[in-house]
Amino acid sequence: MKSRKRLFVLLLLLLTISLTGWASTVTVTITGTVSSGTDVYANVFGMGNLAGQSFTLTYTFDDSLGTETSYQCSGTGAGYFSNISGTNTLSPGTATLLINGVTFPVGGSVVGYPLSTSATSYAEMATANCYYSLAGYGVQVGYSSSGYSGGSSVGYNSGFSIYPATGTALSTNYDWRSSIFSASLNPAYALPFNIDYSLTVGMSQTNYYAYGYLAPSTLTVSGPPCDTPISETTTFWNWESSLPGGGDYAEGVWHAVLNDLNSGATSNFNGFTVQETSPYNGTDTCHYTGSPYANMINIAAAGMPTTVTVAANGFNNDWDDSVGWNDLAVAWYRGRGHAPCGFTIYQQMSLQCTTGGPYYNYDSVHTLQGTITSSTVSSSRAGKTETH
Amino acid sequence: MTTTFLRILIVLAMSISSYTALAQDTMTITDPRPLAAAMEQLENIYRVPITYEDPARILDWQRTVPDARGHAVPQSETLSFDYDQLPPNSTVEQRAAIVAKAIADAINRYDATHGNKKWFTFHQTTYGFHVVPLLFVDQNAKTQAFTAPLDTLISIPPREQTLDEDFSEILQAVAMANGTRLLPGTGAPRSTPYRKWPTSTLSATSEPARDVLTRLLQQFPVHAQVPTSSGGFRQAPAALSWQLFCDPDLRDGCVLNIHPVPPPTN
Repeated sequence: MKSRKRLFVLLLLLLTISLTGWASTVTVTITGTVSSGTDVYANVFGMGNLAGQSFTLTYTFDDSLGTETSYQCSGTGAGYFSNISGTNTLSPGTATLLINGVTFPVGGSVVGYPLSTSATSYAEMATANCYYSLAGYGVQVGYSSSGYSGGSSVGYNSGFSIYPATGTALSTNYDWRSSIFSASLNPAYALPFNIDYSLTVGMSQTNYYAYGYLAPSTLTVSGPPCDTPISETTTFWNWESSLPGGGDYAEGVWHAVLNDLNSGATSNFNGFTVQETSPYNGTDTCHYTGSPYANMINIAAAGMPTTVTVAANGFNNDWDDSVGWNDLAVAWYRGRGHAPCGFTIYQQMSLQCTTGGPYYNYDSVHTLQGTITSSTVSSSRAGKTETH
Repeated sequence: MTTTFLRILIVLAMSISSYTALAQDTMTITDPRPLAAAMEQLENIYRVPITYEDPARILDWQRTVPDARGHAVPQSETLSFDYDQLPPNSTVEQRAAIVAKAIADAINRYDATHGNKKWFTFHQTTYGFHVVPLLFVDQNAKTQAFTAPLDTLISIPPREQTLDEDFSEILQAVAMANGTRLLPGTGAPRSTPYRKWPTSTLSATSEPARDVLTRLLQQFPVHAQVPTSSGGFRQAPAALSWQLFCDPDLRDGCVLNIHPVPPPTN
């Protein structure tokens, strides 16, 4: 009984945590070539001269740690820069550097490597929107336990940013978490790395020292639930039959505007794909046993594309959602004397962060309704109703 | 002689052992269209499309009862049949054989309770299964051979249009050639000016409408949420299926309802 209570409290706590914010992991991968570098004792990466070797630098950031800041352009107020940084237990980032088949961890806890006793890290992203398109990532750790002494860093030194290849931009989204698919980089802006520590066991001391510069060629950021919208705002637009191209008289068209409560930006979701699904079936009071029209109880029954591109309709952060009956079905149910009646469908929205990637649910489950009376039809979405 | 006898015994033993290895259930359905309801249930169990088509004027030969509003609705009837459960990790061939056996059993039971006539048959394709009517009762209460509307040969010239436009064209082509109006029902694909299905690559030359429709439905990028063992969901491609329901009040018309088939869970 007691343990059940504890479990319940724990579940409640977890629920509270999940509702209060997204703790997400962002993975940053940079590939390229070592422009200059030396493994002095050839015991870090297994070879002395590292120049010309390909490298893979992987950063992992936990956005629940550290401090985040963002900046807006003074004139337009549009966002252009954001970053996260922190130290020691609040340091959000760790890194691994792969050269010559050997992966060296900078931070974190990896068996066989020194455990960091101090840490500092940061990630940043800026857009060309009143600034330069650039990104910056750095991790610096110190070792002073278990016989280890020294430290390591990669990309840390201030001023070593990553720039896109000439004529391109890294991202139009200034959120440092936003996903980037294999952007080409300008290798002229190289990143420093420095691994310098010693291990003392008894009277024996082994030194490890590798340093150099990494010329980057590609950048990939695997974001979390992107910059997850928290909600949608629903406003009635028009009836399908009144829009250019026409449509069903009974179908109301609703503007669904994605609200970003993380950054306050107003155009973060244009071009993203959202999807609607039914988490469970609703009801159809028009349907009767033997009806030629099947039950209208879920999103699939509406026959619309379930995925849609945000702002494809020309409105910022908006997609249009048609809710209502097929006119033929209206005529059928009225003719059978079934009106007033209607359907109730439950709609869960989700957002795709990267092309081909998974969808992440957002907002509470919406209730969609289409109602038929002998002379009117109604369309309802997320608590709002229109009738004509 | 002895060898042949032994072979028969061995084959029999193998058949019995493979047969008894499958757990069997009995399904009992009570519905005005018991075969349609049964196929829908089997779809959910086996996760393969099993389409169903009414004879054109199904209510003509069914007993009807007035509903609360005085409209004739078909009286429900009960259909009971056996079906095998899918064994774990079954191959496509095993799965197809088990589904075919269940459909055949359902149709046989249906026919047996309707004068032992061959009312329905089914076709197996690489897409799934189609349950198709063979007979209907005319207005003089005589049983007649029936050509299903979707057996109509139609042609769709190649042209650039969206998937839902092709869907409408198939319905129109059947109506033109066969005289049966096929109306878009629940789940029938449609676009709005700002929310469009992708462009289709469909074309057909004098092909059964059923085959053309099947080809078209395979082009729809439909996904369904599938629960994962961790309690979350993943997106899985879902096949589409249909039910063609007819009603005398539709005046030689039938409603083509489309629905996704739940994706396999493994």
